[in-house]
Amino acid sequence: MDTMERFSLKGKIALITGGGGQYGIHSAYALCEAGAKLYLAARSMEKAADQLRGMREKGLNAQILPYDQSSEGSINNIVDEMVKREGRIDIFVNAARVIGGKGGWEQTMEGHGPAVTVNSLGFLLITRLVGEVMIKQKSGVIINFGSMMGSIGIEPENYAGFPDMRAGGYSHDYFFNKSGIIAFTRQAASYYGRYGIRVNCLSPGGIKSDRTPAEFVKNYSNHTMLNRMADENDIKGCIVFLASDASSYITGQNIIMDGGYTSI
Amino acid sequence: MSILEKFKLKGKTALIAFIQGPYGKEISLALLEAGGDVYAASDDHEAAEKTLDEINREGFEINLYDFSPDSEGSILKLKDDVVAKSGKIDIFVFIQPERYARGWMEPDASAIHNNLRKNQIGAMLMTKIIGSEIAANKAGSIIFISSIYALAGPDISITPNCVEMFDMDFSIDMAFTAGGYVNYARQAASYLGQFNVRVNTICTAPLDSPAEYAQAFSLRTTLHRNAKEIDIKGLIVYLASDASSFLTGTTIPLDGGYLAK
Repeated sequence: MDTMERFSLKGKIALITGGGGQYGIHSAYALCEAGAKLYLAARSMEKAADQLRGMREKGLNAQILPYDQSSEGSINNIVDEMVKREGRIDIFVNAARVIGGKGGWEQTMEGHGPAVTVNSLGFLLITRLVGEVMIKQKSGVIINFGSMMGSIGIEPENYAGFPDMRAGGYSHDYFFNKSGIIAFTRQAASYYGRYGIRVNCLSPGGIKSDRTPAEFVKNYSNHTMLNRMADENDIKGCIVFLASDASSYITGQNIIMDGGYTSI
Repeated sequence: MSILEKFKLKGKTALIAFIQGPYGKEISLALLEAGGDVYAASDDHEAAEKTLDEINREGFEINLYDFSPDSEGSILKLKDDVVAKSGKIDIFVFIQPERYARGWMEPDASAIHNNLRKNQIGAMLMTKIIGSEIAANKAGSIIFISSIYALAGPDISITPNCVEMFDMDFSIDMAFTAGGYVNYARQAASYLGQFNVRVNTICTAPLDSPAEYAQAFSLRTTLHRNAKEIDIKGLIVYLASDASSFLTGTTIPLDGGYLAK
């Protein structure tokens, strides 16, 4: 097969959870542009509909499914719905998460509870259920979203001039969760490998959005080798690579896509 | 000061959570032999008492406190009780606790949630509360006892005929929490560094596995042997003591070279 064809996702059925979020939407564009038939599972239907309008303007399409990762019923429903509609799931992008209440070092049980329910428990349950579908078809690709912050703690200097952001950066769940996702990726890859299912983790560095303060972008960029934050195209390239046959011998990996931040 | 003096824990108070867990007995003995004052906390009184009896037979006494790992109130009370007795806490060791349920498919949502309440929420709440207490003294050490599966996936070829170990290595939430400790320790190290509190993780190899598993595992280490509980003693004293005073946010595998190849 021609190398470039190995990147094509034509004919593949893809499901993205967290379809309304930053990682989810960039992944959605990527999978669609590469030819996959896409389902976007989202908590906020309104946000997902907005995203979909944007996609349609660019000639892309997706189906939206309501999804709440804090509910076991909703997790079961979404997988049932995918099997009912398509009979299979070839690509699963695991991008749903919530922020655990008021952040920071003083974060309390009120914040930990919902964060652990969605980001730990729900994450494990949806992966395991999608895994069962993929075991039956003896193929599949699971992509988890970690973070550069799954491999390091925060650099206080990045937050100079932004005390609130700095305080929030010391939340307990995020760093535990992202590091957990990276380790779970290796364990799941080991478990599912015998069924021809690959599991990898994409760990982006900070992504610049139109709301990111300029001073923070400057501080942060100074800590990267490429002197910039990540953008949507960085996510898109990696997602297509990991989802496609172009990466057919890559499994259990954590791709840290951070402009060199963690390598300095 | 002689370098050996720096390893001494005389005058230091250590709290060990889940003392009945893997390596708990030898961690306690190591800290005691180095001169530390050791307190134990557990959510399983009976199992912890058994470990304490073994420590007792070596000629040491430890106070045991019962607590609930997912209750902020219970952890605050634990902290207050230990401080009332010892005046302070300098060293906190969090031993990755036993799961309530094992296996990949077997545990239902509520069983997994129970595991997470203990292993993840417990670790975060304890680090915040005990860590803040240590920070008040402007010096101290926190050590997470995690597993090698934080850093590598379990090797499925070791377990085919050993259902018990397969269910342990492939417990759905095992690697997730083991891995969580590694970077959570870095994050806590980043926050607590301003108070001169260090946070590190030890990634341990399995103990006491069945013969077939033990044989296969040992061949995958560069030392060609399995872990013994006493292997942790030197490392725990090093990390707890001033001998490691510039070491923080690190992860140290204690694995006979399993991960080095």
